[in-house]
Order: sequence, then structure tokens, then C-alpha cells
Amino acid sequence: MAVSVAPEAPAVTAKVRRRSKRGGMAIAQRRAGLLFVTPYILFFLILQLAAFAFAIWVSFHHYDLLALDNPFVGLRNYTRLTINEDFLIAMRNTTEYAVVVVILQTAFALLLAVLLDSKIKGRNFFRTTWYTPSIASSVVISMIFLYVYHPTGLLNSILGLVGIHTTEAYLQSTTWALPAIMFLNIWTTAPTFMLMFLAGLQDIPKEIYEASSVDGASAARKLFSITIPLLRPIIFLVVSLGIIGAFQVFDQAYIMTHGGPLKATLTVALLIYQNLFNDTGTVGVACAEALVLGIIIFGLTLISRRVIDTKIEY
Amino acid sequence: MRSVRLGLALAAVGSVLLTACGGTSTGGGATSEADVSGTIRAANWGGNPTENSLVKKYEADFMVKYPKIKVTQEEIPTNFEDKIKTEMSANNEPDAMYVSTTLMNFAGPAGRLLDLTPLMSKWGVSSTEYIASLLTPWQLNGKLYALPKDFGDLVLFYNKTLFSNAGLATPASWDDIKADAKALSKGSVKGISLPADAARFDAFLFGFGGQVLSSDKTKAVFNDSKAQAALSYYTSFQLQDKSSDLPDKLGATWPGDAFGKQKAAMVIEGGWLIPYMHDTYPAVSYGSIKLPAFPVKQSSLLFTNGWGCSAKTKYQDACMLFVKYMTGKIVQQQVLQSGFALPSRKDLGTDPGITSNPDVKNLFDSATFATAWTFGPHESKVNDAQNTALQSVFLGKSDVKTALDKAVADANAALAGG
Repeated sequence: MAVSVAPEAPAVTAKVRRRSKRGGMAIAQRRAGLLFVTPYILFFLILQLAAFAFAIWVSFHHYDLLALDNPFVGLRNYTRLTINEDFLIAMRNTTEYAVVVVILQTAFALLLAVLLDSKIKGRNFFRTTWYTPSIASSVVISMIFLYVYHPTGLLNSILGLVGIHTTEAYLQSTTWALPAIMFLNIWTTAPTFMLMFLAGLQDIPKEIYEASSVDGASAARKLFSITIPLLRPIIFLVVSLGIIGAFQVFDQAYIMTHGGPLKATLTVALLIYQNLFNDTGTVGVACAEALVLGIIIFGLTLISRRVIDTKIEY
Repeated sequence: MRSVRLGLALAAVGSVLLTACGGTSTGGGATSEADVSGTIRAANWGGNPTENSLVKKYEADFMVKYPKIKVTQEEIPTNFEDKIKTEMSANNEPDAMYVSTTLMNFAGPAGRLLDLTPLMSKWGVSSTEYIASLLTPWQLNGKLYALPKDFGDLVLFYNKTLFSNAGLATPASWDDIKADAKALSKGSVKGISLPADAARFDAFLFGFGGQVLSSDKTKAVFNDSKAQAALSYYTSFQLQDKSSDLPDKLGATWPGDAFGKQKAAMVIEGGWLIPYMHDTYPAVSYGSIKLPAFPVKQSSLLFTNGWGCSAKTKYQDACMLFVKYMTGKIVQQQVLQSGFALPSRKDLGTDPGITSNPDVKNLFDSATFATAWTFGPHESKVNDAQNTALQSVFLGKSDVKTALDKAVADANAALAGG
């Protein structure tokens, strides 16, 4: 994950620094620490930083995987994006997708977490079953949902049981294809975020709730005046991870709809893939698109930090 | 422990070096087939287990016939072209490989495939052994970059039971098909299922005298009056006659599925429908006809795949002998017997495997007037544009002319370099 929010991090380094004054043992420990992080740093440098730098370089070239000569084209790959209809469609789809998915999955995850945090019967059972969708790979889930959304599939069968008889082909409909993928994604990722909220809920001091009970606060009042404000760091984490994930949506669209019908589910990541592999001489365009997408995600994460992650005072 | 690991690592490196340098005798000087030696990596699409094990068997047979040549099978189960493309860009591609028309479009113009012409004359392979229309996808500037290993093309399949129940005779012309489709459309059953897919529509386009690309392949031209007439006709079944529907509207995943479920009485499909019907819908009784002549000419689409060599292979002669064998009579006869694909060779046209089955014969004979479905380095965008036009007309979002004009503009933007 690109964004790691670890509040403990400064404390850990401080501890290490304090210990290091005690001498030889600490130096050995520090060496061991460096040794442990070296494999990751190497992987990061080679597979991420070098690849990232190369992508920037490629984005200024008319680049093809098989061509021997890849001429420099300056900013052309970037300026073309502003008039490239596919990119604009993909951008609009992805934004729409991200807004709906991030809001709904955050709310849904919070709701599930609060429910599980209360002392309901069969808590462990719900905790396990609700988390199940997050365990399966998105590819597997997508394959399953191909049958759920099939004209004679599970969804329409269930609708038939309650008296709504339809053979709507959801994934072939320009109206329903994107919402269908949104729903599937909310369903699979919300439980992961539910776990983060659950962890956050454990951190809220019980005394605050007890004190508010003494003052006669209702359950709703407790949720909006205590739980949500005190969960802000976790909400920030969930929203930023949600934004990152939503803007990178690829597998579902790739497997279920290939971006169709009529580009209704063409996402930026899918377009990048198409330009990378399915066309000739458009690797530079793909890299430019990827960098623009990266900058957008980075910017949105910063903004959400500004808005949500303000300091908490107990 | 450490020294053991180091030793293993060195051994591994050593063996790589040995493999890499071992073939100093590339067979370049060899003049008889038995003297040719080498080690070749051969990549095939392995997505179909039956096909994959057949390839494995043919490669084993090849090594028995040519004991000095060692073949290592590299099966690529999915995204075949993507994998080969990345291997080529890392200069690590296999020596021999399936050259799909898609791969040809990427790798041929980029000079990454070996021109087989000189090697063919050296090792006694004549291009006249193959069906002529199957060679066109691999011809570029007087060079030939692969030999066809098999092919599929389109014919019209019809449901015999539904036809006889309605008292209809086997259709013989497009007028028959149009009238029969109307007569057969009742309730949830449609007379035909024509999908929003350029890989079906283009048979109509060519039959109406239209083209997808200009002859120099630099411009998209599928919006002229002929193309408009073709698309109007293709969509009229569904939009005017209500005698066709998209497969998903018929509760099917593809036209063949609708045909098997007897929701569509006719479909335009290829040889792959035969094993599919046999395995999935054995009870359905069906027959086939060659696509009747369209207003301008008779037409069908060819989908073919070949074997070719990397331009960088160190074992050119061994690779050529491998391609010769894998596209040769012995292998293709077995392919035909396995019911898997149609042979690309003329000399198998009289094989009982073809003549004894009227559907297979229709498919084999259609190759003479069929056009290879392949559109150059920007093919994917060209086909996206075509499919988008088809979808928007079928979904009622656009009329024929507007849809085609927009698609041609999109395709031309891609052809001009995105």
C-alpha cells in the first residue's frame, strides 16, 4: 500500500534512538534492522522507483514495446490526453465510480463495525461470514458475479421470486453495467475496512461512553458525537485507501465487461492496459495516463488528509 | 551450507551459459534434414487443455523424427500476445511460436519475426501447399512470416427441427434466410441471432463490397455507402423484422449458446460450434450452408493461426523444420481427426475427415471465398470502433450513418498514432 498511516512510527524511532546511546548492543541491533529492511529497499528501488522513473521517461516518447526506435515527442502524449475521447470517458467513469464506491463502502463498513462492536448474539459468526467476500480474489468474485448478473442468473431468479420478472442483462446494459461493478466492489472491500473500524473502535476509551450515558445521550448521539469524531484517523485511512483502490479499478472491468458496453465501464486503468498491450506505439500514452492517474490519486489523498485527519483531543 | 548454495548457484548459471553457448553448430551448414541440430523453445497458446496436449504430442513426435533437435514446450494459457510481446521487448522470446494474426500485426512490421521464404526453398516447403487465402495474414512486403497451422471460418448453421416444424426448406439465399427468420420468430424464440460483433458483421461488409481499411491500410473506410448498406441490412433483422436478437437478450452468452438452447434457429458461426454442440447440446439436430452470395459477392471471414520463428533465433534451420512439421500433412491430418480445427493444407481437402461430414466440408470450402480477418498494427482500436458502432445501432443510440462516421473517425485517430 502506498499510504501507510502508522501513528506509532515516531515513537518507535524515538525508542531506538534512546537505546542507541547505551552502546554496542544497539549498534548491532541497528545493523540487524538495516539488514532486515535491505531486501525491501532493494525491491523498492528496482521494481518501483526505477520502473517509475522509466515510466516518466517513456511518457515523453512515442514508444512501442517491439520497435527499435522510439523518438522523443515532448509533451505530446500529455496534451493529446485532453482531447482523447477515450481518456475523458474513462476519467468520468472512474470518478463516478470512485465517488459512489468510497462513500458507500466507508458508510457500510462503519455500520458493520458498529453493529459488530455492540454485544449482539453470534458476533463471531457474523464477523467471519461478513469478512468472507474479502478473502476471495477479485478475479474469482468477478467470475461468480458474471453468473449473478447473467440474464437468467441468480439476481434475476431472486427478483423473480419476489414477483419482478426480468431478463435484464445487467453487464450488457449501458445503464446498469457500471453500478453492477460498483456494487460488487463495495460488497467485497467493505469488510476489510470494517476490520479497520473495529480496531479503531477498540481504542475509544469506554469511560467516554459511560460518561455520556450518565448525561443521558442516545445511541445515535453517541455515534455522531463520540464514535465518528474519535474514529477520524481510521476514517482517513479508509477513505484514502478507498480512493486509491477505486481509482485503480481494473480487474472487474477487465474480466466482466472489457470496458463495454459502449465504453460504459471503461476505466482509466483498463485504458492504460489497452494502450500498453493492444495497440502499437501507444506505450508512451499509457505511461502518461498512468502518471496523470497517479498525480490525481496523490492529490486527492492529500486533500482528504486535510479535510478528515485533524488532530483529536480527548 | 553457504558453499553448497554457492555451488548450486554457480551450477545453475553454468548450465544457462552452456545452454546459451552450446549450439555453436547451428545447423547453418547442414544440408540434409537429419544433420540439423539445435534446441528450440516453442511457445503455444495453452488455454485449451486438449489443444495443449496435442501440441505436446506432436512435439514429441517431431523429436523422434529429428533426434538432433530438442524442443521445449512453453505453454501460455492466456494473454498469449501480451506475454510474447513482453518477452520480445526483453529479447527473451521463444525460438518458435504460434503467430496469431494479432501477434503478426505487432511483431511483423517491427521486424521481430523471421522471414521464412529463403528457408522454405532451402528445406523444400512450397507456399502452394497451403490454401492461398490463409497465407495473406503473414505476407508483408514480399516476405512471409509464418505458415498457417489451421483455420476457422463462418457458415450459417440452422436448426433442422425448428425448420421442419415450421415447414421450411433449407435456405438457399439471403432472401430465404430473411423470410425464414421472420417465420421462425415466435415467443421467446428468434429466427437468428446476429451479435454486435465485427467478427461476424464484417462478412456482410465484405459481401456488400465494403472494406474496413483502405488497401494501404492507413485509413479506415467502413463508412461508405456500401458499408452503410451492409450495416443497415445486418441490423434490419433485429430492428425492423424483430427476427433476431443479441445473444444476451436470449439468455445466452454467445450466439452458439442461443443456438444450443434453441432460442435462435440460425446463427453464423465457425467450426468451433460443432464440438460445442456435441458436448453441450447433443440433442439438437442441425445442419449448415455456406453463407449465400451477398449483393456484391460471396463472403466469409477467416480466422487463422500459424507457426513462425523469432527473427533472433540461433537455430533458424531447426526452427524452419519444426514449422514445416507442425504445419505439415502428418500433424494436420491428426488435427483433423481430433475434430479440433480445419487443416490449412490443400492436400487434405479430399481427406474423408472433410468429405464425409457436410458441415466440415462447407467450412473447408468456404475458405476459397473468405477474407482473413486482420487489420494491421492498430487492429484492436479499429475493431473497438467497429464494435462500438454496431452496439450503438443495436441499442438504438445512433443511426447507421452517424455510428459509422464516428467509428471511422475514432479508427483513423488510432491509425494516425493515437
